[in-house]
Amino acid sequence: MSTLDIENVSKFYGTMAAVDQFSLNVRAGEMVALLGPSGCGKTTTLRMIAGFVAASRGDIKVSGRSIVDLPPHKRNMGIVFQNYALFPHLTAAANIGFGLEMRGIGRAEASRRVDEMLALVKLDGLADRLPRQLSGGQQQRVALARALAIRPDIVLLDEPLSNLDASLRSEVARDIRILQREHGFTTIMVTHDQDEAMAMGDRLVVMKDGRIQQTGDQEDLYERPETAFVASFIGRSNLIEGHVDGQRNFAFGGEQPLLLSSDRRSGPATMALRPERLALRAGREAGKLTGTVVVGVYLGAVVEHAVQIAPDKRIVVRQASEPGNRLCLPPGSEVSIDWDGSAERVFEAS
Amino acid sequence: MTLAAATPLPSDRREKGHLAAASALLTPATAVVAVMLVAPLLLLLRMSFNRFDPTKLMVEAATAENYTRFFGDAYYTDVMITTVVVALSSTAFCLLFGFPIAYRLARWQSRWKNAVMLLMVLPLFVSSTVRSIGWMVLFSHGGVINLAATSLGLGTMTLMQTTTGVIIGIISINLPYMILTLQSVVEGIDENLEQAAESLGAAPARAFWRIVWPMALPGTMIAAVLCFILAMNAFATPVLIGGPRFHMMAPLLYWEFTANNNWPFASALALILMTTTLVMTVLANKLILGRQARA
Repeated sequence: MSTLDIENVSKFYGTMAAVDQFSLNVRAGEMVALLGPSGCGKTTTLRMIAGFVAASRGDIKVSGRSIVDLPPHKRNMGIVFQNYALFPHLTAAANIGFGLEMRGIGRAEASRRVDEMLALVKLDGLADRLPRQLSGGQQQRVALARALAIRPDIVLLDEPLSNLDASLRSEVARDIRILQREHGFTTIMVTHDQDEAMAMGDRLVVMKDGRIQQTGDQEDLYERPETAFVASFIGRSNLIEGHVDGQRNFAFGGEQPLLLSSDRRSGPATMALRPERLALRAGREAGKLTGTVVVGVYLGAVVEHAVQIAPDKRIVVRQASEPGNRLCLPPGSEVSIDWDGSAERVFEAS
Repeated sequence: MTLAAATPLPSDRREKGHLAAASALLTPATAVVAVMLVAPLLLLLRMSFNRFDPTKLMVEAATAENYTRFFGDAYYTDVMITTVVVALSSTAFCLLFGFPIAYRLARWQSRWKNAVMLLMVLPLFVSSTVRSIGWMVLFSHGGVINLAATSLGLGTMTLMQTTTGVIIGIISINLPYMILTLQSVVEGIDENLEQAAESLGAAPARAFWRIVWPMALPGTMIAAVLCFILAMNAFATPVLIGGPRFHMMAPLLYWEFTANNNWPFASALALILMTTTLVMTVLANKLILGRQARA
């Protein structure tokens, strides 16, 4: 399998940058997920790799060779489209064999490889079905087999799970992941769903407004987010906006400023706190923050409290439930909230 | 409906109620079709077996002489052949010119698209008679095309009273129908399919012929049949551009009906024209779509 190097790629529509200075090096056999809200540029990036959109600037290399000047049909990319884009007038086998036919591979060899692909995606026996005679999950597997049949340099998956029933998603995600690991195809996947990205990617690239916010593995993004956006987009975070003064004080509109666990530059800043890294205690004694319970909800495995910490600021605290222990506090209870210094992320406003 | 709602009925009986309501709603439309279309056609069929008498005009009879007259006289069969040739070639050219335009339009993403679509529809607001007269201005002896041709030293270009002229006139009238129909056909084909084909190694032209064309074929047949029927029954264009010595079926029929008052023969002509159009349409569909289904 091949490596993929994207170097400073930008795409402008007029003066608007849909993708701005995107750089990413993908190792052979690696699966990278591009993650972000709609309009963040992830799909445009994928389409630039595929060749459907011309990059305004920058270079894209497959195993060191630049491909930006190649038309899509010479790029050897295996693409699974969001809506699968199966050819409705061709059978599953003909769909899978289409790329082989275009490459002029002989009938016998092609049919052997189609069978191999059908077996790989566990669709043996459905070779002669038309796409409309297949279920959504089966269609998706045909699309995957069609993309893999050409032995592509890079596999591109566009929102691979979004058209599937919720009940199928985790199963399909796992199947794709196992297939990808076993055969080691270098893969780029695009998704707006963080669970999907977390479950499938070796590394994740979080994008917003055409720019990369952060690149890293699941733990990097969750434990060490570099921007407030990443902190809130990956998992849940309580974002508290405020101001750092010369000392370690963080003023956010509460009764008294918070004492930060490390020195920060003075100026406006946003603090991010994961709900499950916070400890809640009844009473107003020890704790970095004090507040009043707005509502407590028992959710089985966890108990969540919404706590008013300032006239216009509520945060959520999530704790593991313990049997027999009344953790759910009534509204109006005075509480204190504490956390370990490592759980605290402060982002200086840019 | 109100009854069904008031008294709870078993579901199959309720379904029957719905069916009854549906057939009741269809009755007026069926009646209109029967009275306005089927009855006149039957009348036409009956008339085509009557005899024509110069003094008594239509005489009740049961004779096939109108049909034998048509098929026995080379003059009439030649008119039919001209009509079919003009209709087929104008349809072929409409398809040739129309498909690329329709394809571009369908795949075009621009704020001007609606304006261009309007331009495409605009000719339909002008009657075919007026448009044929426009062509006459271009084609006639002192007309624009001839003046241009002679001043460029190309000699005279005769299009007035020629088959080519008539075909050009019919193309100009039918092309908007072709483009509008094909445009919606192409828009119904997911653009991702072409991109999928390209990503699998098909050059754009190959992706078109392997994917877009077979998917567009049924809709294209409909567009072609529409143009063919319009051309088979063209009246104003052959009369105005073709002139007195150029004959197609619709003007011939009109002539027999009004000038000669020969209703029986005109009825036979009408039925022959209709049957020919119908048979050719069905045959083309069977041949082209049938072959595709086997492929």
